[in-house]
Amino acid sequence: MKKVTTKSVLLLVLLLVIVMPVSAQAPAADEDTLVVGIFTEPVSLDPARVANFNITSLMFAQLYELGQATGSIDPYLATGYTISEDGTEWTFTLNEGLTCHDGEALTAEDVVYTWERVVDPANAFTGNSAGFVIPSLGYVGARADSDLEVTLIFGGPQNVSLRLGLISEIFIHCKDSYEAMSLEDAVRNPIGSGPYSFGEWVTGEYLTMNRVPDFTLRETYFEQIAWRIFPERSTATAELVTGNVDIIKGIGADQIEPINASGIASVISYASTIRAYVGFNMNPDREFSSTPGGQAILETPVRVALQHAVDVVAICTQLLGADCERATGPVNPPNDNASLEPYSYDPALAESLLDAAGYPRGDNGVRFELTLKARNIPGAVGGEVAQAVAQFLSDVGVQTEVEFVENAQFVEQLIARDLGPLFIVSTGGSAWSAQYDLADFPAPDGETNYTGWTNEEFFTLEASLPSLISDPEAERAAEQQMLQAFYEDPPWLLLYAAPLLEAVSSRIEYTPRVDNFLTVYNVSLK
Amino acid sequence: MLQYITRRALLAVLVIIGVTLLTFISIHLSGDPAVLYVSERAGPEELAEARRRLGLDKSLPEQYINFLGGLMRGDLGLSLANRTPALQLVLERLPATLELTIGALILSNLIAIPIGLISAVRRGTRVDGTIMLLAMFGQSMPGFWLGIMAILFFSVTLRIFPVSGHVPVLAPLLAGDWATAIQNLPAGVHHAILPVVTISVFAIARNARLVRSALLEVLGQEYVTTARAKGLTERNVIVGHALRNAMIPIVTIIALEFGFLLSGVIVTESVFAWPGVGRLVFNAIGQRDIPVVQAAVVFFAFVFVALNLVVDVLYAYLDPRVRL
Repeated sequence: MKKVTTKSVLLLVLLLVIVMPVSAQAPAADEDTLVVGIFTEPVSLDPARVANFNITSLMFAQLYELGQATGSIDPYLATGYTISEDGTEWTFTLNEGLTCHDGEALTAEDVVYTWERVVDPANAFTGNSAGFVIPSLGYVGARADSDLEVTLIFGGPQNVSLRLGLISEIFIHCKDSYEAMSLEDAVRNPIGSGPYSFGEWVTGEYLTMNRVPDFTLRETYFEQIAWRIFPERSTATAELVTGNVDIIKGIGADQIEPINASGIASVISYASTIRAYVGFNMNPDREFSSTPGGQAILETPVRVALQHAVDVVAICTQLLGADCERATGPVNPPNDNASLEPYSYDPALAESLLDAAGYPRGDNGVRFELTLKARNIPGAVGGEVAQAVAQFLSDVGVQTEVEFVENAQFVEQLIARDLGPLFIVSTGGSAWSAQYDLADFPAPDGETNYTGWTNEEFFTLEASLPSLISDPEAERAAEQQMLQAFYEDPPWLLLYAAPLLEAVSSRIEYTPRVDNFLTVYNVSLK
Repeated sequence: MLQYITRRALLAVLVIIGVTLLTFISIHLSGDPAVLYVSERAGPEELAEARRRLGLDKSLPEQYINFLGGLMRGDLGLSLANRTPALQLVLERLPATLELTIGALILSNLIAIPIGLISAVRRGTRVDGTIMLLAMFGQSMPGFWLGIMAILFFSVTLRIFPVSGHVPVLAPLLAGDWATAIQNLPAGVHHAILPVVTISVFAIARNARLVRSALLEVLGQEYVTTARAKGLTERNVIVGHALRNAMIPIVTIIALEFGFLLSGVIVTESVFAWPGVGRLVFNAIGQRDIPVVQAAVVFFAFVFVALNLVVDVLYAYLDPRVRL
């Protein structure tokens, strides 16, 4: 008998391993499973500490939900609401027969519990719900009027769309389920109220959720949704072009060509609701305030002139791989001021406006110097865009240097208003409320008015908005006037609604939402 | 020997404390962790509240002393991001990283020692030249690039290996679930081949060069000439006399290499979406999740110190002169 050599054994083992069917643990895309590639793993699935809005919104339902259609806010767990005369009490009527995924009946008491759990200091929640939504709403408390009627109590009246939109960011969960859980359990073992129930979470790899058969408030196509986590973008692209992933949100411009060439998937781009801008830091008494550049940007004509110096459309096309329109203000369509024309790219005009403002070129060709603080990240407000903006400004004699700042320091300095004199950043906006977008400028000394802008007309109008709640037309007119004031005295060097690139498998029918959320109601197999 | 080990163990504690202090300082130098736990439109008030809730409102010395107190009790704190015990997060991810590390250690030495030996024995020949040229390439190729190229060629073009992912083998094994471990083994190996090879290439190249130079040094020694003069076969001379003496520096490197591989697989874990400790630490650094970073640092410092100790003991075993 022929002797079996080590070499032949090794070859046999290798062959077996190669031909062995892959019993992959991560779910593969098939007719029942939609696979979505994400780049950051959610740190928590606690509905009160939302780490990934898309994942949470498929497992948990809200009283109202941002609709598929741009700008709509649709009834969800609630069928409707009434508002008290003074605008402080909102009473919602729930659908009958609601349950959480463990079978517990979902009633008004659970809605009260949800809101109180978010604000309970003992839970020490940070992030969007506890840190932004609750204070923005002026939430005071909640009470169950009956099994199906719940009243949310607020400190004062508020624009209806704004309040409803904010309410749509609170995810309802059942009292008995969550009272029985530790905070640690709540992070990893969610018991939801939405169209998909939690399946499995293999940390670092994937998370699955399964369709709830008796959930009738929304129609869904796939039995299972799997979220696969890819820290490296090119790996996600490789999985997409081998047919293992259906949707990847937020791919880089460098991936467009290989994906489109694969024949298996293609890239779509659209303008999101995320607003990208370069801020003029006009806060007094900062390190740069007394520099010539720091002084120059205090002047409206200079800030207007600099708008004309930057070719925003070219930046978008060349660096971000997408076509986009230049913004005219901080509010997204359709709530923006449609009568305003985007500032044109006209360097000659920029130069003449700067001359007229009293900033001629010096002997060295420089009018004044600025520093643009940025993060060295890819995308709409990334390092490349910052460098392009700086070059455009330098071309009209405003010598601009980009200074990269590490992310945590950047955010810290932004909040402390120490970034400047220029900083490039983005801020989440909406398609459903002008006032949500305008909340970046709550008051001249408002916390999120990072530029320290103090336009009197704008802030006077803003202060008048609460008194106009009962007159939507007057309210809308005031918003439009505010946008006009913003346009004429811009605290931002206006860029664009950040274009987003999504890679989509050719096996599915899918239209992305403008707000970049993924609700899967609009996804099906072809 | 016991006294020696005790002294080394005490020194190790100091090393671990020093490493944690440096990590603690460096993380805080790079920004306030609380800013990553507030909403997008946060102001100073929300930031201050987040600091208080995360326990970051205390002074840095106070925070560090609290950490050391916890360390003494074996409590490395809760992750800021998801409130899970930090050490538990590290230990959960450890089996996946060990699979890569052990695989790479075995593969690299299975290949590096024989080819280093062949290269030394055939010094100056074409075989030697070819091996050393390949070794130079192996050491020059960045793991990131190599991983991407491997995916493109073997996974996207040839489609014989999965692009990414992980099928656990060691974790069920450690949990005593032999049936799952065996069931997962083929797919586990299938998924591990590309990342293991990617990690191994550098180690193969370096170790092959190391084996070659160590052997060349030993082959010139008088006792090797004596062994040949005694009429021993060339195989006995090389394996029995030269290789054993050449193994002293090689063992040092191999043992320490385990530590390097363990803590240095971040890039490969990212490219292949492998859910190991490297990626956990990478994400934790990005999120300023100090307890998790500290837990990982303490763990890796402990591994390195322990490996150093093992190396010293092995030295004494391999070279009796060390014991003198």
